[in-house]
Amino acid sequence: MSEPGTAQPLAELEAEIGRLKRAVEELSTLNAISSAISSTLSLNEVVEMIVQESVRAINVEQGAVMLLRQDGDADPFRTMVRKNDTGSNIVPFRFGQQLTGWMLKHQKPLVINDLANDPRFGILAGEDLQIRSLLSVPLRAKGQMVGLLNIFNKRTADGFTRDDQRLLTIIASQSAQIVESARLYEELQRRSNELLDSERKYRALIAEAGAAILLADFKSRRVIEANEMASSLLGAGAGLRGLSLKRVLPVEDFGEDEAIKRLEAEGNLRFSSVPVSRKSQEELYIDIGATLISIGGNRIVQVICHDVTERVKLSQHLRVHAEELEREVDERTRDLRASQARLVQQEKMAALGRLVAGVAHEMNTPIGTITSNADTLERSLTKMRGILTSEDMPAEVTNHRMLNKVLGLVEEIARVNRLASDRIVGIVSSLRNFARLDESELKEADLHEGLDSTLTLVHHELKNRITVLKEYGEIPAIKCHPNQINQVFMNLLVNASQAIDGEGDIRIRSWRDGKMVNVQITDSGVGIPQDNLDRIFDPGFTTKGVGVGTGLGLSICFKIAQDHGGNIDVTSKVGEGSAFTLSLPVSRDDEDGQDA
Amino acid sequence: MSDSKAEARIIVVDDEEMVLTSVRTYLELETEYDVSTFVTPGSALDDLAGSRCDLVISDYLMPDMNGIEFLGRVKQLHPFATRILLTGYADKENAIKAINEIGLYQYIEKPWDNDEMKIIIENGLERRFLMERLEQKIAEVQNVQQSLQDIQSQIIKAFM
Repeated sequence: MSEPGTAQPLAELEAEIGRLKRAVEELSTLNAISSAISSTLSLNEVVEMIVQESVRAINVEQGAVMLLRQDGDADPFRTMVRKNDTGSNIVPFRFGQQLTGWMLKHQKPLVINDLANDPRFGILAGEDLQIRSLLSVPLRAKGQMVGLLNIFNKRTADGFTRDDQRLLTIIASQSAQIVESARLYEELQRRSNELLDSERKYRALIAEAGAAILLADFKSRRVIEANEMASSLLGAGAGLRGLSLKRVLPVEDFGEDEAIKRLEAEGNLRFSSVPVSRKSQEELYIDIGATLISIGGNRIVQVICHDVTERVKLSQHLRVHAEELEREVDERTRDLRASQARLVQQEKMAALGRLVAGVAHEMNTPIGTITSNADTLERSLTKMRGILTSEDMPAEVTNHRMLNKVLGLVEEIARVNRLASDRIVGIVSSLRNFARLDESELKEADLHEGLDSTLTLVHHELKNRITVLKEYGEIPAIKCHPNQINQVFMNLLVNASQAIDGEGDIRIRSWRDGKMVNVQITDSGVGIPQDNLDRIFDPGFTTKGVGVGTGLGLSICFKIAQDHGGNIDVTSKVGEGSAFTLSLPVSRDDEDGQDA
Repeated sequence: MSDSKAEARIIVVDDEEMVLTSVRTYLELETEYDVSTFVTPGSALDDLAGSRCDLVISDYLMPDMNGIEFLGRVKQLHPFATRILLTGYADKENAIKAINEIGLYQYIEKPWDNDEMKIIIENGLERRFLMERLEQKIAEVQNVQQSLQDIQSQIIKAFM
């Protein structure tokens, strides 16, 4: 029993009342927190409320809830909420590495009443003068520390009491669950963002792929996803989703069932250079590659199409180009063969010319002798005849029958001998003329001489059945390769004689026409049909077998004429005959230039 | 010392016997000239050293010596003689060059025409004798001129 009137029982009562007051306050704080937790406030708001109540109840300058990071950041805690006692957000105190380190290590409440002089924490205090005192309590959920509930700078001078610590711990345990939820929510948010980013990334990948990408359901064979390029390549304005693969893929005779079977068996399927017909646009070619994949247990057909139009067009061009090249090669080969044939022919003619010239040279002497002797013989016989019939010859000698007869025979023989030898001289001269060896130089030549020589040589073709009419005009001598021109005459004359069946005539006309000299050889032969006329100078064109004599084609004649700066042309009428006209320039400006 | 054209001596040289025969028989038939034939230029030169020669016809292509060379030697022996080359078609160009180089009178191409050859020979001989007469006349005139000059100087001397 206590004595009345003493201070001690009163003081005890006051202390008791104070304790009760405090207890009531505590309870009301906890109650407020409790109802907040079970209310419909958002998580953030709840945590804010917790911090605010803590700040108010313990009478500090600032409080904060910090969450333990899961993302490996350098700072292990992230401040979720901080508040001062008025409820507004202000510049927070930096919690510092030493403090966070301590909390992580010890995972139990930390009380600091004078940070500057606390032996546990050193120089740090110098950096951060703002924190004078702090009380930090770990937040636990399911046995794990998930964060901290911190209050800083007690306003009263007594520092953090045991009661403060006890209250904060109770608040912490109540709040832990909420805080954990908030943390998980944040985690979810973060993961969700990551997923969204990932999806965006993959979407972008597919959209920008540069190829058409389609995903179709394997079972229904309908398109479930398509990127933009797919729409533009495969030409479905309204989008491809829902359309069947058969409709979408432009492969002709796309045996869907068969394709699916193959896809299943081999896992992929390829179509190469498939043409896509688009009405108002240029032709397009695509490569199609289909693969069977599995996404989340579902079988999906992934179709990737590449625009290979360039490649296809290139190979088409190459093919055309190759064909063109082949054609050109053929043409060139033909030209080369023709050139070769010409060269061989020219060589033959040159060899022939040399042979003929040699033979003619050899024949000169004996022919000279024979000719001279034939003439002398004739003259001698004339003299003999004169002596025989002279006055001082006895009559029986003059009239001697046998003598006269024999003399007469000898006279006849001598005459014919002379004619024969004259003819031989003519032929040798023509031969020489024909095969003139000075063919490498241009020479002034009389075309009439050439014609006559050639006529002599073809005489045997013409004799008896063909009449030659010469209408030689006034033409100047022409600078040319005489043997080549003679070859042309030879060819034309032989052709003319062969065109005439049986009897007929050949007319040779020559005239000057301004700057050109013309020689025309007309025959009364069978004529040339109109269709052949155009081709008659083509190399290799012939309507008969190998000709007589030179075997030269009209194509070579044509070339000779051209090489001389001239021309050959032909007119003809079937049944009436043909006329070939060789035209040569009187003079050439490039005399020392082009040589045939 | 002049010889008469009527007794002119013609030399023919060719390595082919038949050519010599045909030329000689013709000339003997149709002319009165003295014709000698040689089958080698060497034998011809031996003869010419000591005999008269008014006209020479020589072939071009011969084994020991060609016609040009031979005719050159003839010129040394008989400067007034007319020199004629007989050539084949193939050698014509060389002949023409020679005519200009050593001064031939003419060339005849084988095979030749007898009448043409006769005309060439006649003209050649005519020329040969004319040339000689001309030379003589020039010499005479020079003599006379000299004499006149002598007389002139004598007369002048007489009047001094």
